[in-house]
Amino acid sequence: MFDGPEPIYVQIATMIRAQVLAGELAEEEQVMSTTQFATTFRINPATAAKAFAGLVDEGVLYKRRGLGMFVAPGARTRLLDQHRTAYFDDVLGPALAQADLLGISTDELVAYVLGTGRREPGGPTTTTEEP
Amino acid sequence: MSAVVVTPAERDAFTARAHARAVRRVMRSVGQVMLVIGGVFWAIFLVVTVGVPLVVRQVGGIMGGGAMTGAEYAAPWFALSLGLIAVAALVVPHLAAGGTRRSLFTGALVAALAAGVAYGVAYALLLLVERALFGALGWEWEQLGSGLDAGGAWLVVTAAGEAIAVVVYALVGVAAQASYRTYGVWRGTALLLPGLALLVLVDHATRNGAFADAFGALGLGGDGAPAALGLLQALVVLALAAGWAWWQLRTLRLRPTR
Amino acid sequence: MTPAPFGARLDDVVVRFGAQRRLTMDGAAVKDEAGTALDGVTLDLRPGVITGVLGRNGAGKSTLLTLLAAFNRPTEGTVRVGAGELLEDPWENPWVTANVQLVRESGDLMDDERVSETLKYYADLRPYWDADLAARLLDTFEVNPRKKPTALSRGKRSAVGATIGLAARAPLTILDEVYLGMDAPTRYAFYDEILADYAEHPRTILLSSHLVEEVERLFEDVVVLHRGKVLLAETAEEMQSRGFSLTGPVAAVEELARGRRELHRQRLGATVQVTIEGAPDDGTAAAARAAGVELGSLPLQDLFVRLTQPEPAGATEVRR
Repeated sequence: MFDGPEPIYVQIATMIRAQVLAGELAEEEQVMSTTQFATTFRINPATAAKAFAGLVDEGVLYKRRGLGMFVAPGARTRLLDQHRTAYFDDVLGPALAQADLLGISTDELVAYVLGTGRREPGGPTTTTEEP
Repeated sequence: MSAVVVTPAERDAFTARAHARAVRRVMRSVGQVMLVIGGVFWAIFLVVTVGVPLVVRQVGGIMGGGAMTGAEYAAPWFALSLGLIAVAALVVPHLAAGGTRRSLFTGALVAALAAGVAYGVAYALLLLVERALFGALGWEWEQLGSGLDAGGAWLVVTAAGEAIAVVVYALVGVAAQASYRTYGVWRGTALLLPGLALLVLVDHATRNGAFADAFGALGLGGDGAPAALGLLQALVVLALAAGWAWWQLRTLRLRPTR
Repeated sequence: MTPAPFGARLDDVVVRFGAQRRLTMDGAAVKDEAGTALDGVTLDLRPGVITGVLGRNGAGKSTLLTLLAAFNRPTEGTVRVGAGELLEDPWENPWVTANVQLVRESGDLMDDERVSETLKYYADLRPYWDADLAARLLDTFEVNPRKKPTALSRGKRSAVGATIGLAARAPLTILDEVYLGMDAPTRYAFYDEILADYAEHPRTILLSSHLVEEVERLFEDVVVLHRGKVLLAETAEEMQSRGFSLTGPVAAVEELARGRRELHRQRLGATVQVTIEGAPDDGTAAAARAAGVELGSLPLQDLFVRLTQPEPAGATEVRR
């Protein structure tokens, strides 16, 4: 768990966001306490607390005094919006820029998108795409 | 994080409580060793004191002197080894449990004083038992104990002398353990010498013991010296022994063993 | 009421030992060499965090830790321990010593008494002793308190030390290699207990260990000592950002690692894991993904070994 190159608290936040996005953590559902988190994943509680604090700032989680942390209402929608925006900025943007660099035309790209949509065998794409 | 601010008054109260707790605990631990094991020691001497004359009587012999001569010399040495052992067992856990050298010293001193009183009383009582037994057997009993000229207060002076000697011996044992811990085998052994000097001095002051002759020439007392002077000298030696033990304990360092 | 977690500050601390002979418990004479255990250590230990104290054998870890608990005092320099701004000399200072619990790997037990007697001694002296916790921990570690330490295995003696360290609830708790002889499940149980109790009762914990991989996630701060000097003292996060690892096919990893300083290399068949010093470049992540190379965090152990290895780094790289 958490052996990516980013700081562990960033990875924890990413994991919780992913759980909210996937619906594994429902809105208004309680998340693990810092202590539970720390002992479950055997990490320093401060690291977990830092991740939670960031998520509270983002509005993904909120704190109920004396009860713990809960998934904020509307968190999933907000995350979906953010990730959609981020998808174009972080994923598709660079990919299109790369395509431009390689001289792949817009038509080819559109054909690819539509083609994969129909799952046509032998398209120009299946060899370059890693599963 | 619950950052509790501690006022200087709270700090001082905490410190005083911690010190008192530690002293009490050392007193109990060292006192227990000295009184329980000491109790066994004196019980054995009671058996010997009563048993040996009866056996001798049984086989038709007569004893010129009682078995208590042995106790007179053995008891302080016994206290010395107990002081040595008690501190050896306690010093590391005591410091690890947050006790100070000072509380270890104070607790050990109080325990040694208590043991001194107890041993002194036990010694006096056994002397009385032996005298009564010899009287009952019709033997002549040579008066043991302090050679100090105490007149009618002989028994009290003897008990007091024995008590002080026991305390001094115990403290020298404590000091020996401490210096050995800090300085290792060689220097620790060398530091036994001042302790041995204290033993000589207290023997000399409290009774005309084995070393008395050597000091007699110095005019420091000896046979027939007034009891008050002898006991006063002994108390001075006790103060020196306490100072010596504290001097050795206060610098005690536990070196990492790896 | 427990006081706030204790912090500590050392300034230009030097500790020198003379050569010494001492007798061990089994009567053998051991010679301790003369030497400088700490050589000009200046260090701040933050209150309220778990700090890892790392270093090779003889680096001065134990000496440093004994200073904080007043087992020893510096030859030169000053040591100050306390809560908030109120830092004091620990030597013969009950305010400090009663609030600092050092547990050494030897456990510091009474050898001729039952374990329960030793625990009673600690209970009588320690102001915040939690007897219930002590009993529960002994149970967890399967230690019979009616046995004498000499009848316990090394691991069980360590477990008694671990129990003392946690049950004392000291605002500064120091665990100096309190794991020797413990098997892996027991060690992990111990780590879990540390985290759980720390989360519930905030305090300062100093943890020294050679099993860096096992404990690095527990640290908020890390101190690395080497030959009596502080090599590094920073947050674990900062230390983590000093490098990263690449795992994947040899050729691809080779390509990505080119021109960078390698800390460690491990081959597992066709794949290789290389630890790189420094932060990954902007393009590294994408390039790694494209090449089927996994970008991972820096194993602290690799950095630690690199920092404390005797010969200069260049030499080893050439030899690879």
